[in-house]
Amino acid sequence: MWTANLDGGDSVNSRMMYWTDLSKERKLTAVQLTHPHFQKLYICLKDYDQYYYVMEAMAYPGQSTPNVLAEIIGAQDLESGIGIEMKLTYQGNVQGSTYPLAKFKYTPAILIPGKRVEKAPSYSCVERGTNGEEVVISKGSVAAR
Amino acid sequence: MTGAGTGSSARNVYRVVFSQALSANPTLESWDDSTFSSTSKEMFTGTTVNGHIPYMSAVATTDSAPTSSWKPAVPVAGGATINRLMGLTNYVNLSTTIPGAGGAVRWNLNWEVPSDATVPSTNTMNGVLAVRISYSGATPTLTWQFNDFSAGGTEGAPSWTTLTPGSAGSFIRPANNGATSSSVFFTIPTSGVLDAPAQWVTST
Repeated sequence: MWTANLDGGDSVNSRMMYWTDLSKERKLTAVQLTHPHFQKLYICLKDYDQYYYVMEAMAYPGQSTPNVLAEIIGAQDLESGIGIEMKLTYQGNVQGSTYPLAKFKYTPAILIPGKRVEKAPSYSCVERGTNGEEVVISKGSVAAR
Repeated sequence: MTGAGTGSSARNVYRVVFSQALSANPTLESWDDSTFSSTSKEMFTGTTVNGHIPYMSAVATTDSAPTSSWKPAVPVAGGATINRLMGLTNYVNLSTTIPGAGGAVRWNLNWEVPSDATVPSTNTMNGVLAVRISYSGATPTLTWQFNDFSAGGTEGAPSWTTLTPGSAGSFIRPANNGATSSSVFFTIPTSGVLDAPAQWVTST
């Protein structure tokens, strides 16, 4: 499930709408991805120029409803020309990767503009504890200014 | 079906129609099974006679027709319009324009079987063909179809028959000319390799 933090403080998520229903008029400050079953784990991208979300699925001959393999959130830093993707597989594995923007393979229609709150774009992988505390498993800044 | 195999320049052989828009160009892949995690069967590793390359080839025909004898001599690393199929090592990019709602992609397949292929082929050529898609909105429904020769389909006037899976799914089988719906079989060559002259879609 994705959650998008909007400029102005409120947020929306995939239970409320499809990613393609997001307005490009309202900028995003961060995007989070939560596993449908392992809900204590979430991934966050923030302070990027653009964000996107994609579901990856496969189907074999005759299969009408594809099997979802992974959910992906991505973000792009236009100044550095680097994009970052965080893939959360159905098994709960997290795969992170960066790419030059020229290698972006999705339709530009899914890019939603972002608004920076802090200076450097960053990613984090967080696990929520039983008492609601958050433990950062991994974090970093792909393109620091 | 109509026009199957490397000896054909047909575009209308197999197709998938998507009910909702995709976010990227879909790809055609083949794997050992539906876990989509390995390609260790003989149809991927090949044999001594065929030079240890995958048996199955595919060509995307969404955007244009291939030339006859389109089967590649060797696989291309990653994705290509024409390729041998082996997981994510070698796959086919099915289109250059991302399909919108109601859009479709088309392709053709070829089976190349060497004389030293294992017989019976029950566990060596029973891979899973699959289409990988990406989407950001509503989940698309996929309609799988083939140009049905039995229904009078031709390249110019295709008769698209929707695959109806059996309890174990749908099967695409290489076959000899003269095979029938009740007897789908393929005879391996006595030497060298042979491209299957026919392909059948079955539900068992």
